[in-house]
Amino acid sequence: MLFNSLNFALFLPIVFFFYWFVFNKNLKLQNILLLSVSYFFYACWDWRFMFLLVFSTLLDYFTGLKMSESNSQQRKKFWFWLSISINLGFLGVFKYYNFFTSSFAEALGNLGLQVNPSTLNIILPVGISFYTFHGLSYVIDIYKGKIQPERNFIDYAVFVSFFPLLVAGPIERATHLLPQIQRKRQFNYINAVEGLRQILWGLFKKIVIADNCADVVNTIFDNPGGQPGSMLVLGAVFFAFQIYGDFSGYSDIALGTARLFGIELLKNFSFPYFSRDIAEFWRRWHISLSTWFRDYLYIPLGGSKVGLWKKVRNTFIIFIVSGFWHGANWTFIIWGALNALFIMPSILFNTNRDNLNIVAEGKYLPSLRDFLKIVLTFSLTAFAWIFFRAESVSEAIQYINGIFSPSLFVKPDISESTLVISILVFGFLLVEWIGREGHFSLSNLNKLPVPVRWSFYFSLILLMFIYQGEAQTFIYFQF
Amino acid sequence: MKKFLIRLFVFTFVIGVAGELIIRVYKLVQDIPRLYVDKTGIQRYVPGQTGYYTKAKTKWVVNKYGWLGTADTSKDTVVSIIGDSYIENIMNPVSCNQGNLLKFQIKNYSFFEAGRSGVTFIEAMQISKLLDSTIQPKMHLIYLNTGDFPESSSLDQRYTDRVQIDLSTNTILNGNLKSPGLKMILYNIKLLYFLYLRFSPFDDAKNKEDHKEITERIVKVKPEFDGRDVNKLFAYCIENYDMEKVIFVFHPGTEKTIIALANQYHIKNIVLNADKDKRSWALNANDKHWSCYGHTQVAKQISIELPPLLNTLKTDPVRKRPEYAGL
Repeated sequence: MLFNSLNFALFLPIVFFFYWFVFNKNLKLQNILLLSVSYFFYACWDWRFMFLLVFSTLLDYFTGLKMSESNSQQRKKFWFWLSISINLGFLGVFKYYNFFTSSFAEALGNLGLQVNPSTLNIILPVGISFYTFHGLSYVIDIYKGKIQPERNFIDYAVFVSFFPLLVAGPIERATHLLPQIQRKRQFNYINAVEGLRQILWGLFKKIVIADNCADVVNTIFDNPGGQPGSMLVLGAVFFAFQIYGDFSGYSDIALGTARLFGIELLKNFSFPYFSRDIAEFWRRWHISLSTWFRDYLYIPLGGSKVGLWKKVRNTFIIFIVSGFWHGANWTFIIWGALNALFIMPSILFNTNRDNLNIVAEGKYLPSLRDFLKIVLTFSLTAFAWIFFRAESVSEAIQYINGIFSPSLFVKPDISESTLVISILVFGFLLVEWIGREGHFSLSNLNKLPVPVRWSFYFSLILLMFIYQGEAQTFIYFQF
Repeated sequence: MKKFLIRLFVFTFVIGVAGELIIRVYKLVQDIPRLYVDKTGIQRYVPGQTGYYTKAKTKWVVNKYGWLGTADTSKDTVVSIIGDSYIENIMNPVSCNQGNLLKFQIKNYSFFEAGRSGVTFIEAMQISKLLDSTIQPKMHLIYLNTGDFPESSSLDQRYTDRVQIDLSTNTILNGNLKSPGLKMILYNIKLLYFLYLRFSPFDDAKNKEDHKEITERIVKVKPEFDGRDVNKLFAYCIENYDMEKVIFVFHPGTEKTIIALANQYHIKNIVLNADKDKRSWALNANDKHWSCYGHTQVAKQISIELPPLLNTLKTDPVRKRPEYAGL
């Protein structure tokens, strides 16, 4: 079930009604309802993978309990590694098995040894990377003594499978979400309105920005050889907006939906394209994943409290693993490595925490220096996205070769529809810029009078009607 | 909660009314004419209806015979043009219809169009029979694509809204109107129709397929076309229709097996060819229906091949049931 489908438009009010009007007096029943509808939501994709989700939930629930009951460190360690290896094992089989076997065969082929690897003809269970990481963080936190295991299975299962975050995050932490599931939730008017506003903004990002940009991007990326360099640049820039509109739009809908149920999810995006360096970009892009890797990989490796070369090594590890998390393809690994390379100046000169504030806070416009930094950061990011978008490394290289050719200076053949999309993207960036000091772009809108607010909502819906793009699947569903 | 629900209701209502207005003013969804099933089991449009295609400037009109497009019977010799949505051509101005374009190329004949979205091969043949009993054309041009043939047989899948044939008993199965009540609501409340088209529940299935394709990296191998049912269909036609009056117009890319079988049965045919044309005949990348340019090219090719076929009408009788050569 997609967030931008009629099915979801029917599903959400029904769940909302039962949640607040039928089961509102009993927290246990509310949580049972959330769990049932979450499983239903997941089963709409493929009911067979429900068993995997339930198994993964049971595994982490029981190993969590076993770890806390263990009276020896060795026993605790056993349960811990059992959970980690099974979780990663599932991820490995479903997501990476074919990649490893074919890469291994290719490597042997380069050495002159021909082997026919047996690949698995299986589909990737939707959301597996997300719910596996939920479970992993829970188990690691218990092992490290940060949290106590959850004894109520329903509460724990809701934490893993709460439907707004089930298929594409944000990747939640037990310390943040579980307490909210355990305590009684009260309907809050302001929160609910804020939630609806965030859903509306998310839909706009997806339907108008991402889906329209996808039209241009697909045309250019499908035939890079026939395009001048200037058009290839345009394709990379549009892809940057497509993936942002797509994923942050999804996250906005997820966060907004959760708010309707009185639950606050972790923020996933914070105006990343206004970042002044790559380090700031990664503090603002897919925040729940970046902080996950920071807390469970970077810091255990020593983080930044080690020597310079180890810091460099740790940075490369975290970015390459992050790239690999996105998909079993060398393109994602190179995308991760490129980002590590781009962040290096900040690491080497210890300037990675220079831009912790909001750009041009309290001002209408950024300084020229900040503006140039934003443009540079965006350019580097858009360049790295080429690998993310390309089907293979050779395709990405061909694309980049096409950019850095004399045709880079040829006037791009911009159609009327591309021009309209460019104007929409510009308008979208303007709203994002004005709203950059808030929780999300429209969160400060409640300060305006009702007629102005309603006019704005109406304009967004109008644009969605008139300028809807060809419907595309959410990009992050494949991860 | 009360305040929230009241405001949400008012907002939804205002947006609903405004949305309906916008969709109608900007013609964001096409108007769909209402259908009825006539006595012969063929679905036709209720005469006299008019409407617009999405974002189009010109109107479509349903003629008194229950079809869209040209209905010229002024000349002594009438040629009918039968087909599916390509012939119905609701997406282009009527000046780009095959009937109008052929009229300019072949002056001595009148052209009568009977096209409707979803018409199968066997329904096209039934329409030819219906026209024989009413306007009595000298010749029928039946425009066909590969997909029209499997859809004609109910053995693979019974489409209850289409005319099909049960090839095991050679029985024609008429189609019924599919969810007429729901369609009536959707077509009259444009906002609902718009939302239905844009956020269709059936898109989930497509997305699942997309997801499957991405994750499985499926290599789709086109299965070899099985001509046995087409052979039976042609054999049935030879027995039950006046094939002397029929010319098949095969779309570019139609399965060679089908064309070979038509030739084997000595059914007159014209095979359209778009390979030499550098410009696409399609409306756009997402809609393979012919654009005005495409229709013009089709009419040009037909106007070259049609006159000799019309002249051979009485001298080249159709042979009955040749042996199936196992094509």
